[in-house]
Amino acid sequence: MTTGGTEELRRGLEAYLSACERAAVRVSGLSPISSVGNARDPWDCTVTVEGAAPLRCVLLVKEAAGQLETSLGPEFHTLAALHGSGVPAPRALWLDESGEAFGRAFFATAHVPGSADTAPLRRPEEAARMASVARQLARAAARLHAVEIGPFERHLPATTVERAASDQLEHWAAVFERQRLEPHPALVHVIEWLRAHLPATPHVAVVHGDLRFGNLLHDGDRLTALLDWEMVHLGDPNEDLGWVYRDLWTPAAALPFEAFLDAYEAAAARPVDRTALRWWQVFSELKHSVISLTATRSFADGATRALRHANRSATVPGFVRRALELMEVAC
Amino acid sequence: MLNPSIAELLDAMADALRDTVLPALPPGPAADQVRDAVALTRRIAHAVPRLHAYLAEDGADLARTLDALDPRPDGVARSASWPAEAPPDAEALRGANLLLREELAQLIASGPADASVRALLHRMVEREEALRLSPWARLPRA
Repeated sequence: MTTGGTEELRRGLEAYLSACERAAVRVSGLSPISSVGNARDPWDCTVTVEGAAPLRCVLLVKEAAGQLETSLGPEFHTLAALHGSGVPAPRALWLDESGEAFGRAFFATAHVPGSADTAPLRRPEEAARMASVARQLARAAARLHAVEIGPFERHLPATTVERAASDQLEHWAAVFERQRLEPHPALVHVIEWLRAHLPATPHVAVVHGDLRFGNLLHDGDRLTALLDWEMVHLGDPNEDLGWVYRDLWTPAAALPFEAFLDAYEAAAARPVDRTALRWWQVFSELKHSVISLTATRSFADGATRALRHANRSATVPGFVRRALELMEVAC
Repeated sequence: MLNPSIAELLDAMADALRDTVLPALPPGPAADQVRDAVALTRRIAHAVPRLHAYLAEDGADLARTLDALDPRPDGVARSASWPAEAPPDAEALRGANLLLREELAQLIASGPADASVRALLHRMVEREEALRLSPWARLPRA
């Protein structure tokens, strides 16, 4: 967004938030936050509602098109419902799903201290700090998966222990069919294998959907918030565990996966079925493949001009290879 | 004129963008686009000289495996063919390859893949990884 665009955004926000709050609202310090995320365009700002103290906020503006078929409502309402749950997550403040404020849908959350850049934690000399944050990530996941799902069922599609795995599989299989630009026999093989080996779901939980090192804030050796909730849904808690240590973002150099699982199991007070976990690991490779194909499709269709999306399908063979390896181990 | 090759030209273009354009841009969306253009150009430079051989080998392997399947799943007849001699035109090879892939995908969807099909899928993925430079290829593995 240009400087003129920033001013337009500020004015639109002030008008929109004034109507929401029924009071004069001033927005200051509006600036983009550097992000490697693909689905939301984050902005920092301070919002002052007349008569109240200034509040530092983060705006998450929906990208016109990209790698995900998601809307903002479920993410926003999940964050709102998580407030006070003990799950480290930003507090939801305002939502504009229609783009009324400045032409693009957005929601705002309260600012949370910490850095989203996990690269410094990956330095060998920071291994202890990284391991500490990874253990907190395990405990945060356990806390999330223990949250009572009732309040979330108003905004997230319902599922059952019988259907949780197949619901997710069929969702991503359908996205695959919509978004693929060519036949992918290996991905069809992965989908068919997953259909033939559906796991048992221990209980229905709030599933983050993109839980990983990189989608969190850390301050020193403290995990301060889980971020990027755009794929949140109700489902099998093992799904997050199948995603969290994928090769692309694993913190295994500081904390082995088994140690992460130990921390999770202790906090969740339930054992993780390793066979089911393997299924979710295969599923995760499928899911990320489909996300990459969606990104490339968005570019090919002209829905986005972001070149990073054009090259995303190049990641798919690596994900498929990993899925095939995991399937062989599981058989 | 054979020199510089297409791949050399593309690589040189990527170098020029990286060394002369990127440093002049402030951090932000324009710099991101140039950085991604450099990566994409390098991927194309890597693929261009290998594409014809890749398509020829991949298509022949697909056709051989599909021809040798016995028994075939009910309702999935051989529909795609592969030329005895690989045509010089990469586009023609690509079209024939896509038809074979479609047939293979239908076959897999109709029933469990047998050992020869699973081995083919591994070979296809291996070939594709060799052709494509993943944008994340340099990330450390666990």
